[in-house]
Amino acid sequence: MLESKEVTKVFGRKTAVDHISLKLDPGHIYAMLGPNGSGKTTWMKMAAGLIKPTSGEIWYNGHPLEINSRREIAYMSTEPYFYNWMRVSDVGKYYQDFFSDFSMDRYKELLDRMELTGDLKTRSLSSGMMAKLKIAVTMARDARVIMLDEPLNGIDLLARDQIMTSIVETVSSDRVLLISSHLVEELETVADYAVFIRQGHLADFRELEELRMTEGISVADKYRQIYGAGGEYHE
Amino acid sequence: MNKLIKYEFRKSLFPKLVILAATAVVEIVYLVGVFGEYENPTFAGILGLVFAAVAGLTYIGIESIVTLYRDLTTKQSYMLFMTPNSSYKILGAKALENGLSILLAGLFFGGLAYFDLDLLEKERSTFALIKEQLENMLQSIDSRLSFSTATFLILLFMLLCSLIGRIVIGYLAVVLTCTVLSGKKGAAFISLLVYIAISILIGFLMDKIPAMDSINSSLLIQSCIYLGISIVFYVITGWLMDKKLSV
Repeated sequence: MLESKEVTKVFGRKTAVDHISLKLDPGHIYAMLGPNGSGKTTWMKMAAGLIKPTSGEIWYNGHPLEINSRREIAYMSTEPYFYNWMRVSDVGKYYQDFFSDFSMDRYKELLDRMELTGDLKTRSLSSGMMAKLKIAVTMARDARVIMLDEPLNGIDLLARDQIMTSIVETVSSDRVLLISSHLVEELETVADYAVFIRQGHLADFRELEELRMTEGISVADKYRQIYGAGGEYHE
Repeated sequence: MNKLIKYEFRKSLFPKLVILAATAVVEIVYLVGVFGEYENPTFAGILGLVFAAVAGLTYIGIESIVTLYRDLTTKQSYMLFMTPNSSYKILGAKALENGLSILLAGLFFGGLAYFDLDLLEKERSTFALIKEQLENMLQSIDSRLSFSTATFLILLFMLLCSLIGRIVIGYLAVVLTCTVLSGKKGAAFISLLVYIAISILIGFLMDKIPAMDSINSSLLIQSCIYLGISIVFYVITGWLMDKKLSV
């Protein structure tokens, strides 16, 4: 469904993503793991069509990514990106105006669950409330590919449970769910596959069940193996 | 496209309301002068309205370029570029919204000027003097200009086309900064130089257009050239965004 073919992105002298090839199939939840600056966000932004690769291509449903792919690919950035003048209700209206797969009912349901109201101004939201709003508006889309970049950042433990429930609810056999996070243990409970990114390279791509069966280790253990005991990359 | 235009309008609503409020204040000063038969407030009102019209129209154009810059350099860019709209459509919506806003603002200021001058004619005998001064002012720009409604309207149309052309070149400068010059030292300065160079070149080409007997025909030809320039630079800018832009 979503395929990265030797994708590279160079910013000035820094290679953020270096020849990454991987294929994401529908019906699975993928955890994209790696420390800060490893290239996860850059790859996701390329898959969302926000950043152009320096070389290589990303294909969606057998074709190179194009404008119309955005109709079926939902991306949630880790940074806030709504217009300053917007209220929570305006964000929903905006998505409804541009995405035919957006459900206002589902959005309202998710807002209720996240304890957000439509009259709140987005510029006055706390980081936790903003994170919930981004999740609500993204998950209210019935997109074929959903990519969530650090969805649990700035969110307390109880709210994390609500968010993980909302995420798991959207799993279906025709959808790809890709989640990046530093919170490896949180993702271990929901993900089927782990994509390890290290310094722009694909360090490993493993099915979690197979990892447990063949190596007898958890994702967190594998993470430590790849990036070092402290979770940081070591040469 | 309509939805993109709607949100472009919403983004620039606040500055437009400020211009409207400032215009309302000077209009009140003018009306107090006319009805109270005070000379100073009348002339202060006229000057204020002329300034509000010129500054307002110019600001609406500049605001559009600033909004594009903000839309390309902040995280708000995701709001535009996550949607299934091509760069040409996004840029086209910006240009159309801005052109429409300038046109509506022009009609608003033109209508207000007509109303105020009509009022002055009825209330005061000084109108003939003001009309004569307007005539002199127009003829100082071009000896073929006279205070005829048709010429006045065509002149406004030409100015609108010229402003749209300059705004589209401004879009190109912004997009150059964010694409081929992105991350390079002095990118904004180089883009400004490109903007100035293109503007000078267009001015040079416009001067080469042979003068015609009819001022209306000359103005219409200039309008068409400005529109053509706008289309050419719109296509170049859209292509750059489509091929090179990362937000």
